[in-house]
Amino acid sequence: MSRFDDYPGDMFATTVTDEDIELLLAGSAPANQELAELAAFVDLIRATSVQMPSESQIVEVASQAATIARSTAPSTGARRRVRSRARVWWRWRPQVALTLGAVLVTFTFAGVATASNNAAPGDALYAIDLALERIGIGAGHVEERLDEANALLSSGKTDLALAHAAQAIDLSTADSDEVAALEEAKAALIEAAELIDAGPGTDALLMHENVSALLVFIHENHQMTGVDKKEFGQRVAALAREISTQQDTTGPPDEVEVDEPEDPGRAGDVGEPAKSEPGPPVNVPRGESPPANNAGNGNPEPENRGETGNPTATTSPGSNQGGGSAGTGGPPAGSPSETAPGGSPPAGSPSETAPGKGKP
Amino acid sequence: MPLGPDFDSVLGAAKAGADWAWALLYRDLAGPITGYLASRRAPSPEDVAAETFLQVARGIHGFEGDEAAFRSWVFVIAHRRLIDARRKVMREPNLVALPIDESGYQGGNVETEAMDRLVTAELEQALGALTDDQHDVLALRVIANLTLEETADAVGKRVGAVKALQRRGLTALRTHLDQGRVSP
Repeated sequence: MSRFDDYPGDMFATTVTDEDIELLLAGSAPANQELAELAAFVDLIRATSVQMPSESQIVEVASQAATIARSTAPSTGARRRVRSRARVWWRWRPQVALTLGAVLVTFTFAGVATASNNAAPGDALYAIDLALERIGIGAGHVEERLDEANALLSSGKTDLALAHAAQAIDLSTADSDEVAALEEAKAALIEAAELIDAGPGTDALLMHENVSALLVFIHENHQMTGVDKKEFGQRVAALAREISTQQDTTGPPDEVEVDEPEDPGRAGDVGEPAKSEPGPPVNVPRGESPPANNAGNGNPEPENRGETGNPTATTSPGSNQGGGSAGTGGPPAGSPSETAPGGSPPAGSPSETAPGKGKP
Repeated sequence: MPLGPDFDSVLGAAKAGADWAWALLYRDLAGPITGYLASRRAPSPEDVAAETFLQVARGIHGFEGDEAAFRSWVFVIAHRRLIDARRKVMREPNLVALPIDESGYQGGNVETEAMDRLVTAELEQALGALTDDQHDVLALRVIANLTLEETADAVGKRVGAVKALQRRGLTALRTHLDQGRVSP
């Protein structure tokens, strides 16, 4: 095994016990005679190896050691432990800072996105809202434009509400045929916005109700497809034009035709031409209004058809009063309890009760 | 010369930073430590011994135990300082370690010194037959007076390995002595 195994002395390995070796190394005279000579040699090693340093060196080393011991006394040891904890924090500081920064950015972004999502045109955050919607955050293009338009309407900015409604007309899913109709609707809305802006003699309340009805109509029907979409555009344009012309007159135009909700159960049927010519459901001035044929009533009253017309959209947040006055003698369609804020659904979707949630 | 029953109070004073306590401890241990380092060919045994003790001072507040444990702990540190010193020499091959017989014995008269030199030469020759590991173990056992377990702790080996090393070391020493007798 070792290079000593070949020596004659490897007898040693078998004849000397561990106890003998322990005694030998401890300096005791071993009983084993073989080890006697080795014992003397071990003593020699021990005796000659010890080297005492000089006394001056002992004093010097002792002084240094004492100084070190004092400087690392337990009190300072405690302080060092605290410092080492601080060092742990220091070492993780970049990671902690990055994490906090990321959390801060995330929450700030989420906060701005949330706040801006409710921003209306003119608000400081509105531009951010639009930008976020463009990349798909807080998107709800048509719904949100309508909500914003309603907010503008509520604050008395009727013209701005109309202009904003124009933005709610979504051309992205329309084919060329439909685009023409929708563009027309847009143009009509913008024109109406410009016109009523200049009209001083307008009946503000009536205008408010009509614009509200228009918004509700868009809200209820903007998801039309195919032919319905074209129809939708045309009717929105007609409604907008009505509002444009109305601002000059306090009374309803004679040619106003009643939108006939022939098949009120299906929202998708709205776009189909009614028996009567599709006309704008413009509210008539106060006191002259026939009973509103409203949501929750189910089928429209037949006798309404033959009378002065069936206003399909008469109620709005501000129109409860007008609706109540218009509802004299008619079915309780205009009762405030049924007219949710934002206006009741227009003709064609009488089953809808809450415009906010109703989607055809 | 062990401190015996006074050890605890001396240790307490050393922890408090008393010069006299450290002087007592160092005077007690410096001889064996320096001798051990010298026999293991430390480049500068006295310096390494001083470094060892300064490191002891740095760790003294974490030490609990009796005098034997203290002695063992100090030699563990000394052994590690020795290894560090050897590595340092290996990195700096231009520095040559002084021969052991020139490192300053406290000799008496000329006759004794001459005797010492003779003995030292013989020791050197005999110990030259040992491997490094065997020499480490035997020096710790004989010079530092460590137990088997303490030696194993100091050199970082198992007790069984230390036993085998010291047995083989002693075998080599006896073989050397036998050969010396055959051919004087």
